[in-house]
Amino acid sequence: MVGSMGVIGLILLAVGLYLLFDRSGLVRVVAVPMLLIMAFGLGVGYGLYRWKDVRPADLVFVLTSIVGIVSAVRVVTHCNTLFSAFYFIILVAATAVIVLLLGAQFLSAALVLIYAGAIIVVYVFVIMLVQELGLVRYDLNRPRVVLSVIAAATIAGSSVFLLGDSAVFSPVPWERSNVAAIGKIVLVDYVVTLELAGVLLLSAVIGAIGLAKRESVERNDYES
Amino acid sequence: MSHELLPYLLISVVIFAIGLVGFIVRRNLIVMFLSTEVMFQGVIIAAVAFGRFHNQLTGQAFALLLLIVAASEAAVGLALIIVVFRRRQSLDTNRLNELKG
Repeated sequence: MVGSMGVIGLILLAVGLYLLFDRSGLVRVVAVPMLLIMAFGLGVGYGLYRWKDVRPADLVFVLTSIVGIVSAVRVVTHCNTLFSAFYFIILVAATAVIVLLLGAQFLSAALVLIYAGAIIVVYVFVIMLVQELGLVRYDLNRPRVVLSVIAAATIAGSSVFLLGDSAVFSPVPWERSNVAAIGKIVLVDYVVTLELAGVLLLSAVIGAIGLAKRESVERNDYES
Repeated sequence: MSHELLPYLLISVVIFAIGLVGFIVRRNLIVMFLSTEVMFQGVIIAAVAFGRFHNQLTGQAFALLLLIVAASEAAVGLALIIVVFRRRQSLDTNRLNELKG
């Protein structure tokens, strides 16, 4: 049941994503509330179908997933780059709540700290640095929307079909706190990967500084 | 729905598909990188969901390392964007056609 609902929802999402890339305002005004109402109707129908099994965590999951999907769509379709970054912060918050529902407490805190706290700050700096003069016109003609939406919907839909029936989580066998468990597994079982990730970060820092360095700084060094 | 595997995988696949569409359609370099980060979010949800399903912490550990990779990729990618903008004065990927045959 969830699989077929997922397929219908994916078709709605694909159609909505295609319509959102339209430049004329009328389609956007009519199509988006229509799709939202259809999605809401689907959600209400499914909720009534499963009323006796609904838990509070289910409500949190549904609301968070709606927020996440809407913000992901706005990241991708917004005209202003800065607002894409802002909607991405909301997507990161939604992802943090979803992994929190799965019991990954350290990962959700790390997501908010690292993504919304560091990566998006760097993105906002770069967006402010590389401001283009005048109205950005090159993003207005988008002839590749239909094929890309069909391709993405095919990938997503085939994944949904291949996932099969729903499997239920068994109770959590972890006794200690999540931070201690993550620390143990990363520092004992996957310590080589952790060290390699540290080397990767160091090389990325050196590479980024070396790439974005201006030539005038080198000239000043040679002159002095 | 929060105690089943399938809804989490659905959300992961949907967010990944949205990021994929954004990466293909948009021509602004920064929004293309942001769409890559959106795809990363989908993968993180899928990794943690599968880890929870198999009752292992490997999914969360992999998601943490994926976070590190995403951060380093964002840093280097944005430095490249700055360099490209200094040369071309534009963030349009259709302008980056010097190697075109």
